Amino acid sequence: MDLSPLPPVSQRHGPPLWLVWLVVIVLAGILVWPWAQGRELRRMAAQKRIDSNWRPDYRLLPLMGLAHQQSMAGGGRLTRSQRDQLWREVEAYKGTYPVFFWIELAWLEARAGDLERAKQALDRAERQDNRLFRDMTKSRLWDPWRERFGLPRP
Amino acid sequence: MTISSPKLNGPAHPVVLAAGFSWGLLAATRWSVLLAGASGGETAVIWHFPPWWIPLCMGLAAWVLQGMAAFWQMGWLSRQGLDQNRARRLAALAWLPSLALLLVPLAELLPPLLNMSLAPLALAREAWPLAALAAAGTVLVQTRLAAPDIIRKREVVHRVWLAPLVFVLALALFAGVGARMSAVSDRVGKFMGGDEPQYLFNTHSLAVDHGLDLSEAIFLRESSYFIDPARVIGGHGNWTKDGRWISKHRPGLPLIMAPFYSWGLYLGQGPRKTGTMALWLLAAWMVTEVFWLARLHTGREGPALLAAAGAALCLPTLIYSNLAFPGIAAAAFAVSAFRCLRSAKPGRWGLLLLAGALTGYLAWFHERFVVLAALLGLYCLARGHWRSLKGLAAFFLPCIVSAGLLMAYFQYLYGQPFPSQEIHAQGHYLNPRGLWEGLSGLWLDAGEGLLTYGAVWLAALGGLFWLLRRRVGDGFWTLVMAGATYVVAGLFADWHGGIGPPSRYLLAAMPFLAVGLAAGAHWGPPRYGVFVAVLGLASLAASAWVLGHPSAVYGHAVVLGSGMQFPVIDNLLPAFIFNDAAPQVNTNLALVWSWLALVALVAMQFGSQVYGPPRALAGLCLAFVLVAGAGVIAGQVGAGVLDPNEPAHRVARWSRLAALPAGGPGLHLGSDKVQPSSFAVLPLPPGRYLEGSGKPTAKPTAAIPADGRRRIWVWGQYLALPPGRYQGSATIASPSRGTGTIAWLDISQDKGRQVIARRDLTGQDLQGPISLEFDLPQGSPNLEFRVGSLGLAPLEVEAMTITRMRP
Repeated sequence: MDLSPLPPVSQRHGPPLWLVWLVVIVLAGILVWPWAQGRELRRMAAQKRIDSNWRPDYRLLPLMGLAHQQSMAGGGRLTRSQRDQLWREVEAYKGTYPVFFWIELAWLEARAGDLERAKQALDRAERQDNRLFRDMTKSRLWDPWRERFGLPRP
Repeated sequence: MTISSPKLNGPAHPVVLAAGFSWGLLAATRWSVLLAGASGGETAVIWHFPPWWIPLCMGLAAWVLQGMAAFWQMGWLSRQGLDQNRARRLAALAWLPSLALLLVPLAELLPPLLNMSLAPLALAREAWPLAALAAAGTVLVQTRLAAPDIIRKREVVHRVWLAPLVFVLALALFAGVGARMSAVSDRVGKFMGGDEPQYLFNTHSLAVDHGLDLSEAIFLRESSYFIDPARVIGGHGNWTKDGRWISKHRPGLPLIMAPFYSWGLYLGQGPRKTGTMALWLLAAWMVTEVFWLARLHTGREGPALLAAAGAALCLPTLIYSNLAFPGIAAAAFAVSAFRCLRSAKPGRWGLLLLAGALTGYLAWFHERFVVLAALLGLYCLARGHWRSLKGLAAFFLPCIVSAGLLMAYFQYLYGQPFPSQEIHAQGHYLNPRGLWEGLSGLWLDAGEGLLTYGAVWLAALGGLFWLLRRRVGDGFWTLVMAGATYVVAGLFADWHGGIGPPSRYLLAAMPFLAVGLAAGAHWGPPRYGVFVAVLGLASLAASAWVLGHPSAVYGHAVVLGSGMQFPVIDNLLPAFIFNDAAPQVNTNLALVWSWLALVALVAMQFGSQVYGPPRALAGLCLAFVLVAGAGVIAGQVGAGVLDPNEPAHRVARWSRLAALPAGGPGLHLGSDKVQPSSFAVLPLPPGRYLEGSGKPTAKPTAAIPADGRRRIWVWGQYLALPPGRYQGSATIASPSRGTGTIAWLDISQDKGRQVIARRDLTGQDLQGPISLEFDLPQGSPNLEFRVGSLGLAPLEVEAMTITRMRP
């Protein structure tokens, strides 16, 4: 059912098609290049925040981002001194919702193989906010240690 | 009209003189300021005039300008080949519609004299520029109609460079809007709200983790890249069975924004800003598609440019070009797919494949766009593409693949192939408060309505009916696309689209509505142009206001009338969300304006192409009377124009009074019981109460406990007061009778940084009203009236007012 009395209009104006496609492909390549960095982008963004002394009261955010990315890239490896520094930073943190950082720190410790300290961090998280602790540890990130720490299932 | 003496033709023609008098009177009477109020059921209007020579000069200047315009107009008509005498007579009579302007001062004077509704007065005071534009436009139309030979068909020219120019101009416009919003955001704080940060959070997850599981970004608090780091958001997500935290918002828009957002992270320059560039591009693409489609339908470039301008410059497109909601993207995809289907010859599979891909992607923005996708499928068949199997496959294959993937996605998320309605806002696809609320509110609501913020869309709708009349197929399908978006949104319980700026859910209808502007301009009667000019001016004014105060249009607030002396928008229009306690009043108000809109739509469908100034005068007078009549009825139905809920109206009046040169006469009309002093008091409404970190409260009074904590309560947050002397008064009750300081009162500006006046309060002071006088030599853009408690004694703040001492 073609209800329109107008004949279909076909238009082709402008530069040659190959040139259009070339420009599109080059521009698309440039556009997606940072995106292609993936998790490395997390490190770059966090590092820029640290370099620019972004919000000193929330400097723990980029520090955690850096540690997270390093743990992901290195199969969980974080030196003891790095983890000790993170402990000090989380304990000194005065901002909102510290529970997230305790859970993140516990996860970094668990990935680094120090399950004892991971348990300590989880206990601190639970004491900070039991409701958020019970909810946010349902993440699949905790699957390898769910049984050991008695964490809830999603 | 029988005046035909050659001596009287020309600028000395009585009609020209009378028209000059109308314009002069209008100009002269615009310089007064009036105070209007009611007390005990009686009303009064007090006029303040500037010194007599100012209105006289302005009136004479307008008259002279009108005379010059008439002189030029007569010469122009003579040059069109008409006999000189005839040209001068026709030109003179063309000024006849100007006499309708006499109704404006009449509407201002007669109601208070005759103790009638003051709605016509309020409308005349606020909307006289629209009346003037309507009169000028009608004179112009009649002048053109006097020489019908000059209205001739032009050659159809398609300039290749015009579409890229439209794209570039639109892109520059939206980038400018972005710069403005960025500047305002930095100045008044983040005003991003509703689903926008959640869409950005999904974008962040896609950019960094290349996935939709938000849990890592939540643990690392990475929403701090676009909102205050103290806040935590979860992307409106939930756990899947395998422990992924997935947002209920679909990934279509975040996927498009992710590469742009990544550049922001990469450069450390604010990923929200770079992510917004994707929205500029989408919006500019949509505007270009409107241009192409309008040119396709009408075959003309001028009307197509008008349609593109309407789509770009008017709300809601203008502001949503910079907000991360999927509406703009869906609008661009839908109109582009529609145009591809319209343009493609049967079997032209490349174009159909593109249309299919765009259509298939629509539901990934939000599942409500499935309706548009289904309609595009029907349109594909209706365009005859079923004749070619290759073409048919090219369109439908991407759609089927996309639908399958989407169903698998839903199955993974919800355990069923279709999402249930519980996941959406209030969980009702059919509004339990009544369907009329959304269906009328989307058009007319004072805070959420499309026409309130973009009246030109009424003309666009009228134009679509012209498209239907002249190109049945095109008109039908364009109306169907716009109508389906409207109906789907209007039936939904959250038809207003949450707390974001108005008409968010109508965004996908905008390109199709905009095409109506082109159709109306091409086929409509001459009066259609007058409609477009008048409604377009109102729309541009609203756009400019919203760009001036973008944060104000969040949260269902009714704010557009805050620069007016009367609550014309606030009280004469329905406010279904803001004033939800009076659903029947809102319904009746919506009916009043719906009828007026219907009359306007009918008027756009008819209209003579023949010169006829008396008929034009009658039509213009009828239009003015109908608007005033609708205002009177709405005033009776609702709270009326003398019931300001917001301080803004009184402040607007003070500002105008402050700008009025002193020394002119005054005029008191109406009841003597209503005294000028009552107009000077500004009661600060409870809605402005803030506690501590800015938590709003709806309590009529504020109870401050004696818990040893210091607290600040704020009234009149960020008032913009004109220069003058003021008195702030507060009524605060406390059981304390001691002589030690327990509280304080202050007036501050610059967001509390600069205290203008302060008074410490003891228990003894609180036995009666407390006042504080202060001067504002420069005015104050951000004034606050604050009560501070030391937490030593309980306080009950009952009322606070600001009174202008020398109005």
